[in-house]
Amino acid sequence: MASETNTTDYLTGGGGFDTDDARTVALQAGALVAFVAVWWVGALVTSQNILPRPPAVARVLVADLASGQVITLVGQSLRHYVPGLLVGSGLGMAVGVLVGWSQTADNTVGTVAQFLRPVPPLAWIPFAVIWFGLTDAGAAFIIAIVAFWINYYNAESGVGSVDPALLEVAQSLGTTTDRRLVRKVVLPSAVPELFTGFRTAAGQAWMVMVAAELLGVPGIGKHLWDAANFLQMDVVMAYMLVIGVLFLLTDRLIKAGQSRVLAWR
Amino acid sequence: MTDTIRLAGVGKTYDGEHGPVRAIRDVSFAVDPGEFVTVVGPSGSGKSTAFRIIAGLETATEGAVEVGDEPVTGPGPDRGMVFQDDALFPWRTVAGNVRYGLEEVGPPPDTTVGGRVDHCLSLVGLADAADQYPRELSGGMRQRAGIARALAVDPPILLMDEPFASVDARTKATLHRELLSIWQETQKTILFVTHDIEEAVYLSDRIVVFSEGPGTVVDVIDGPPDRPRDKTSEAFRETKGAVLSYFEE
Repeated sequence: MASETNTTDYLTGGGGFDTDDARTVALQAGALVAFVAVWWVGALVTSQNILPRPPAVARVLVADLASGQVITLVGQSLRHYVPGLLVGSGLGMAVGVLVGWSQTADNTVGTVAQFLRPVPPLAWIPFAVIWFGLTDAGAAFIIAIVAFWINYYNAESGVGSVDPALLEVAQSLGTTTDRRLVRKVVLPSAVPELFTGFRTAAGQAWMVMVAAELLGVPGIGKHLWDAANFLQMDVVMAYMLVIGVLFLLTDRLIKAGQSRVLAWR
Repeated sequence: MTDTIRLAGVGKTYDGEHGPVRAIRDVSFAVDPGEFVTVVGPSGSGKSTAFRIIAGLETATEGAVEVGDEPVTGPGPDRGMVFQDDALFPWRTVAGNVRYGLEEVGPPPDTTVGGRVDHCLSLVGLADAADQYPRELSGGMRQRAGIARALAVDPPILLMDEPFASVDARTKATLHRELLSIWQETQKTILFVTHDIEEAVYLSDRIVVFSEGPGTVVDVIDGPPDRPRDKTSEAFRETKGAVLSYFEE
């Protein structure tokens, strides 16, 4: 399968995690070992309450993985992470494409967007509480806002950078309506930017999730805050690592989808 | 007569940053059905503007443009277009690009979409590259794909804007021979824009010579009588000299 091979070539050509290059793997492993070493040394010269030691954090992770606590918390967080990310991204892409394509939409919706955009997503937390209460929906709302803006701007710029010659060719080949031009030319050519937006949003959503769960919605972030209140810094650190792993997994997954869909690049 | 391109007193003035800019003025010429006509002119002579007006991508500010006795109101599948930068859809394979127009307006009578795609690909010698993406192709192959895509919906007219300007000389010579054989086989009317005088003399039945901007038609010269053309023949050199005389001080 020619396209399979090309996808792999593309990935290794781009470098990064997926490469089989032994040197790269050695460098990456070395960097992680060095990171843990520096952390460990730092932990030895300070108190456990300031910087927990790697073995203590590892014990928490092992115990919570064994008891199913990690899985339970990840499950709870996914209940607002996934809907928030999907709804926010979907709306952001839709409105971004509209504003990028239509001058009228840019003048109207785009103007309103420029007013709302500088509002920090966390400033919406009071409204999230009033509108949705301390529920998954409230946390999802905050995540959706973050996802919305990232996808909105990527979609808008993706649509704006469509090669005008492609639109002209499409018209000469019988594509007459605006709707069809968008579907057949604008959207496919904006797919790389749409993917970039979604991938960025998926990462940012993990970060904002921790803050959104401050509301009191159960999940990894809530658990992390509760532990911090009892100065259980090893637990805090353990779940910071869990979030890091979730971030990486999500990113890998989306990147794999991206390489598959964008085999033509 | 149908499917003739006719320009009468066509002019185009743009709103430039420092006032109006006149790109072409009083351009009049006609192309008969099945004819291969080339527009030559120095860069900035507005020949691409004339091309875009005929294609329906821009509107003339003066005069009338008719294709097949109908005024041009926009681009359409009766005029296939081939550009200098191939403008292939990068997310579609070669076959996918050729299929595009067929998805939009359907295959010509008595053909199927699949059959038409195969036919056009083999017409330009790209049958083996059907499943490749544009980025995997050489410049010459991309231009062939662009020609196949334009031919797919069987337009009576092919408009080509410097299609071979960015391919190497050897590929260009091959593409010239192939284009002529496609033209003879399909009986298309071809309007070809170039700044390469030898290319114009080699390909054309008639050569429309544009002046420097604001461009207008200074002469229409018949191509050499023989086909296939011999670039070393007396007639070829004479025609080339006649065209060149307009560009030398």
